[in-house]
Amino acid sequence: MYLENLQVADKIMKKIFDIEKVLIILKKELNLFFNSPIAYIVISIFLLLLGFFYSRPLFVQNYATLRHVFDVIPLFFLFFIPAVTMRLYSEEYKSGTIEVIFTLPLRKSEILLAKYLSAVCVIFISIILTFLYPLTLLFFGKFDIGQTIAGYIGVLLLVIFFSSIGVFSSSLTKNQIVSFVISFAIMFIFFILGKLGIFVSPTIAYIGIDPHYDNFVRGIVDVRDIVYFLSLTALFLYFTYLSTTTEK
Amino acid sequence: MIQIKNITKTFGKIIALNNVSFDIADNQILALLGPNGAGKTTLMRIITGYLLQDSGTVDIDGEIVSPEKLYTKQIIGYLPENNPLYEDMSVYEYLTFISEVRGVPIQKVKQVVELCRLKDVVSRNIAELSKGYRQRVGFAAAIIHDPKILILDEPTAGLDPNQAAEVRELIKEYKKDKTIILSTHILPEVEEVADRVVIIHKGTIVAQGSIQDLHKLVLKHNVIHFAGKFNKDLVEYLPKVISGIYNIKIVVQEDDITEYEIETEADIDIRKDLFNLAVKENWQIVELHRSSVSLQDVFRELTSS
Repeated sequence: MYLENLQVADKIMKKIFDIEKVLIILKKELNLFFNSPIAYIVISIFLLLLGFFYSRPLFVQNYATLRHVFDVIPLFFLFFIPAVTMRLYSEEYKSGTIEVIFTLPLRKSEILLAKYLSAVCVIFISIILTFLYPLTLLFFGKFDIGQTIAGYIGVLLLVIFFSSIGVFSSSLTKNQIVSFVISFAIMFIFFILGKLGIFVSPTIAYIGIDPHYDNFVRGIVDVRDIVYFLSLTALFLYFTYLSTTTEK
Repeated sequence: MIQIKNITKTFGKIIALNNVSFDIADNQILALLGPNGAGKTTLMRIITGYLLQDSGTVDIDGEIVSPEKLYTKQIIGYLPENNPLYEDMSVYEYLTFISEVRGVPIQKVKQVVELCRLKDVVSRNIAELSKGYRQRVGFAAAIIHDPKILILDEPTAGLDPNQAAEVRELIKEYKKDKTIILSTHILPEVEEVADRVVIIHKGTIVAQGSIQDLHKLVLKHNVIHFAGKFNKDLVEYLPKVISGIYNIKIVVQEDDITEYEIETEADIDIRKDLFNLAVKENWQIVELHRSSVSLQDVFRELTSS
């Protein structure tokens, strides 16, 4: 009886989307990404620049903290995330392979989810590489581990949110440069709104990422901030879904 | 059985397809003909569920095709125009990806590699392949799941004659108990492989039927070439003894041989009468044949304007 219910549940699930299919496409996306040299160049530049912002306060000012790293990460993401996401749909439109993948027995939601997850995976991998910084800090002295973990949760939520903007921009155009510029522009709006606290009303500033992201950096994990990031992510993924079901 | 009913599709102000309807029987090879921009690719994209039509339906074995439905996509194999492929993947990676999505066992990859003679390039990147090989990769990907319906959009475009012949061989090898829809510009190819032809021009069907049907359509009269050594002027004489001739003229006259071109009604064949007459009159005939209209003439007649 239990087994039967499980099978029925499985069938219903497959009607919405098939997780196996998502994994197959995800594998293909990661394969394509790491088959091109751009992936390695972008990740290296990101890590090099971030390493600079990590080591300068450490050696020059003797601060054993990741504060500075967390502070510059949103700015870096404005360039780094569009560079990773710009090809997701644009390249398929340009080379015509979109016709191949859209005529395979796959749902557009499965393709979208796999593409989105592939971008998130790539950026997560680069973020995991930065775990080296807190590990080295352990050698230099005491630092607040709890605050660092909270900071990383903030970074990961930011990745999740910005990647959805990136995949959305990519679904709008067959030109990767245009896709880069659109996602940069949308991310910049969210980036700058939070910094305009003194010029605009608090409600508008609250739309920006800063009021939410800063909480994590300060070590506060608030459900409201998590809801902020996840709901905006869902919104942009829904926009992407709508954009890929209409013709270009 | 594929039923295409009243399909209309517009792109902005351009009408790509205007109320197109026809059926495709099972196990038939159907060729879509038409000049560039006639709507062939649009029609194929609608049948595969890549594009959504403005109105009308495509019905495959009772299932209505739509971009979000998976059933028809499972039974169709599709080679799109210009054969787009993931350039950064190797042939093996690409075919494995397609087989996984299609849910067919991995051994099928080996089979299609064998069938499409891709063994030598299987580990090479697709970007490095010649056009002929790329076309075979696209074809292999289209047939990997043994589709009931195979749709090929200009499978031989841009290939040299040898490569084109190879692709035609593949189609012929594959055609047993399968429905194939293909579009092409190469008319001898159609005469070689197709059972039925649909000619599209400016978004509407201008003609359809077997190749013989199409010939009849354009052939308004028979033209007979008749040459030999005659003892009288046939322009005057022939219409008096053989009925059905409505035009006769001299084409060439050299030494004592005269060549006539005789036009008759389409449904009358006067070659036997001419032969009997020649025997009776003791003429020496050097030539007696009916000139036939090629598919090329049909195509030009129907689509030039």
